[in-house]
Amino acid sequence: MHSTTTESEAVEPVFPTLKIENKVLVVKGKTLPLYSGGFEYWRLERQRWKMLLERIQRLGFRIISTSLPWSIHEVSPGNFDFGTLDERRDLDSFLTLCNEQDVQVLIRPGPGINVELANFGFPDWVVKDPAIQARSAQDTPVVIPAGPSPFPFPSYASTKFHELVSNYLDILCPYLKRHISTDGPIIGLQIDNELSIPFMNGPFNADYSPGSIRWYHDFLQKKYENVEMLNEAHRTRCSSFEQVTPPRALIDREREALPRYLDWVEFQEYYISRALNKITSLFWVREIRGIFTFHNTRNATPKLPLNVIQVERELDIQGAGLYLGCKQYEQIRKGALYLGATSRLPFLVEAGMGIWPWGPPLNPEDQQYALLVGLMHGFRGFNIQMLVERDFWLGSPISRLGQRRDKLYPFLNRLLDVLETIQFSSLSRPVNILLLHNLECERLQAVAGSANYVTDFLGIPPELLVSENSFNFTNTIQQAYPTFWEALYMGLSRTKIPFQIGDTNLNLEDLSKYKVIFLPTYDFMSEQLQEKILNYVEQGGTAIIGPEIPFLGTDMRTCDRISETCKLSVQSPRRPLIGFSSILRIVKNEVKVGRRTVGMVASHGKGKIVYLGISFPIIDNRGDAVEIGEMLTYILQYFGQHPQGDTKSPSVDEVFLGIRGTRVIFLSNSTNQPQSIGIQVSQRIKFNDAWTGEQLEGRGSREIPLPPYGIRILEVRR
Amino acid sequence: MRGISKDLIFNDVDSKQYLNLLSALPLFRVERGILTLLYSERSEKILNAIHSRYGLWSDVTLQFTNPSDIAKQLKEKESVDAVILLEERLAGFLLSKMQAGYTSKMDIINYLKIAQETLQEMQGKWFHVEPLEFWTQNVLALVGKAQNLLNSLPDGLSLLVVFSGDEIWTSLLAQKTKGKLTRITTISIPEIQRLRISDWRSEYKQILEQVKEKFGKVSFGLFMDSETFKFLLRSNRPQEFLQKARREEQIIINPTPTLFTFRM
Repeated sequence: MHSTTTESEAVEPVFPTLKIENKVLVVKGKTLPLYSGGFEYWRLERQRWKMLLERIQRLGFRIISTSLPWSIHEVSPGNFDFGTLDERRDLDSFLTLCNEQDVQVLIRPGPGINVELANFGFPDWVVKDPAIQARSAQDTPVVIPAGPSPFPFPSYASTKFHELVSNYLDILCPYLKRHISTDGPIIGLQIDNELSIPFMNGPFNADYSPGSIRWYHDFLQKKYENVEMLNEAHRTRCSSFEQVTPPRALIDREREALPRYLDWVEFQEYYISRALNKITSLFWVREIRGIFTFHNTRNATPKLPLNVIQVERELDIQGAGLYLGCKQYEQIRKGALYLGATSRLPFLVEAGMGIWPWGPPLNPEDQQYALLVGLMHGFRGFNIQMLVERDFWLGSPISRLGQRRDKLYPFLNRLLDVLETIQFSSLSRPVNILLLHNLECERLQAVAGSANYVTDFLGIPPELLVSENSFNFTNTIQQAYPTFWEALYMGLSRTKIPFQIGDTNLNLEDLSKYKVIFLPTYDFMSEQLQEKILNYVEQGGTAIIGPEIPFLGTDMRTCDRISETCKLSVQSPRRPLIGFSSILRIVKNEVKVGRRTVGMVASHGKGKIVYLGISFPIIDNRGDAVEIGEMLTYILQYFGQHPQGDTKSPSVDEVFLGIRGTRVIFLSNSTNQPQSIGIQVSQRIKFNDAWTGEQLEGRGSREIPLPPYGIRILEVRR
Repeated sequence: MRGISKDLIFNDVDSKQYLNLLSALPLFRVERGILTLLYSERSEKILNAIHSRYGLWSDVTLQFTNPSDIAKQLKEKESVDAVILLEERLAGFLLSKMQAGYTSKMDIINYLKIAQETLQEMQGKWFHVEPLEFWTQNVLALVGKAQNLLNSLPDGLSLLVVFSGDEIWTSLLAQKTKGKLTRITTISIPEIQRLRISDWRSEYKQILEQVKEKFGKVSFGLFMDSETFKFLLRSNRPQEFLQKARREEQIIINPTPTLFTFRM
């Protein structure tokens, strides 16, 4: 649906019946809730397909997703099987059956798809070809430590790789094309899967293959336009872009050396987006168009080098994965709040139900709660991974024989009913506050990390594995920034004022939808970003920045657009602000703690910029965020934003959703203890528990019990 | 090369039985208190610390001395199950060694063995664990045990059944062909699931019959109760433990493959 920008032909979609409007999928003018379940035809007995599809429909799903692994359909170079050798691989019959059964389909053809297959579904001869392999900084293959066999990951910049993918698509796409029409059944196309995988071991793990280095030069050329500007930033004397060599380890300790490292990390974002663009265009030119395109990541919150906004310039939806449990409430919420603000349609491409054999065991209660938390806080669509059990998966809601699993099946059945009743997919949430990820600081975090860039390495948390070198900045940014950001997140959660999470890649138009933005800032910030913040303020927004005021650009040369324009000056020293919050006040454009000035408020255009020269200790839970919560409440109320809801309990959240006015309230308890919340009921306002049907009527305050790790969904009836 | 086939099939696994099995493995006991610290040899500082239960942990105020001494002191002071110290360069070094040692014929166990050997090489240099047994008997041992177990299994079908009360607590059925593991499943056969076990020592033969009917002849069968199974997993000398348990009729091995030497 979304046209590709650099690699594709400029042609109109063949079947322009699908669009995404206001975070909702619209098909032939009607809203289509994006609730889907994983079904792998090629792993299930063909005789059972119809019975299983009927079982899925009885459960309440109208859409399924299915992978189409390359290694399953191209059995040896140039030899394909679409049902001749193995009847389960009869894709055409399967899609025909889906159409007959009125089931719509999201296809996931890769080229990389994982689904617990050897080589993630890449054919063996592809991954073994040295001309295709991604290369590490030590010029070894980039090996993915997957079971049953580790394998070298392909370089998505390899011309030969593109040729082989094209050969496969030449055969595959005609099968797909005949099932894409105004009547379906194919409505969505996943472009590859979790494409940040080759970078998982750190910023210097991949990809140093010749094709990738060419892409790196292209990236630099786009960024700097001419080599003189690059030399200026990198402090080099290259005579052409082709002379630039990428860093292979972090060896410098001065900030002036950082631009070339930051560029290498930023290039990896470009690499992923360009790779996705390339793959999308390979489908596009084979007339696989008119359906929406999406990509997935394993985490609930996509992390660099996967740049959501950049990816959504190449395809329609950058989704997320959900393999978390009750104790990861905040992680799930952060992902939902983030994609809620940054994605066209916040989509859980893999909402885990059941698990792969080597995963940390998650029980059904964990998975049910995780999905509800995700929906409560921002996700608008989900795909159950896996709805029907198959090889290398256990504990799905439906077994491969069609048996219903006793907890997950009835849960999903009820959930789909409830979502339909409350018209969940069309509900929206007005939010005025945005907490931004500073991607420029996060790139530095990546540069200074010794491993663990994308996913867990031996279970060691990524924040543990960063260097303490300060690079002559005022702070050791890679350590200070995540601490500051997390404290803001926990503090904002305490305020009970609705907020979302975004990142600095959001454009001015999107930023301007919010009245107040929080952006942790340190010594450096690109000129473009400084300009964007100033423009946002000029148009009437309030930007709250700190604990430092940027005075350098990302080239580490003087750039003080914000401080110059707004006449801000650093207040020193920036001490941890604990024990003072109750007396933090804004007085005559100064932010004061007692008599001490810790920041200032400056006017610019129609808006304000607030500099907070304070820092916070490690606050990684809401219980420890009392003072920062009070401080942020004061600041937000000062700028006209007020708490919503009936509870001050830090572990109870209320989310108000509606089209015009509140229609539905989600209540959550994120602890293992029972909680309750008092809600005002009157003759005019009544509540109905959408899950149980319980009516809450009468007058005055009603105590609504919330079970441990419980979610309640109340319909408001006026 | 022996090991795991790339075309391994892993299906029809009973999730309850499988999760019981995982929960018995030391690696998955997640409630342990483990303190992990990152330190810099160059700047003689502890850079960061994390507690497995409480998250980022800022209370490390020890004077930086010898990392092994720090590990010992913290183990005592913080009453944790284990303290792990990692030098900041270890992760990168480990990963580069693993990638450099990769060959296209490796299965995942062989690949992890490169990590195991590298960590053994770095033990006491960039990698310190207190107590050492925590590492050698848990994480490190698991790779070695898994490989020994794989190598010990004869070609054909191997069956493990563990009982608890009147039901099957966990089971594993592994098919090995030409030295490679080609299939894993549990015995989720309706006829077996319906069995109510009163005396597994005599009723195990019914299970063997049912398995034979559905999957073919079993080459190696191992039967025991869940307590014995947990002891076996924690045993430092599994072969001796098995021999003793067999003498005392705590386990039944039937059929016993020829030339069977079971090492874990």
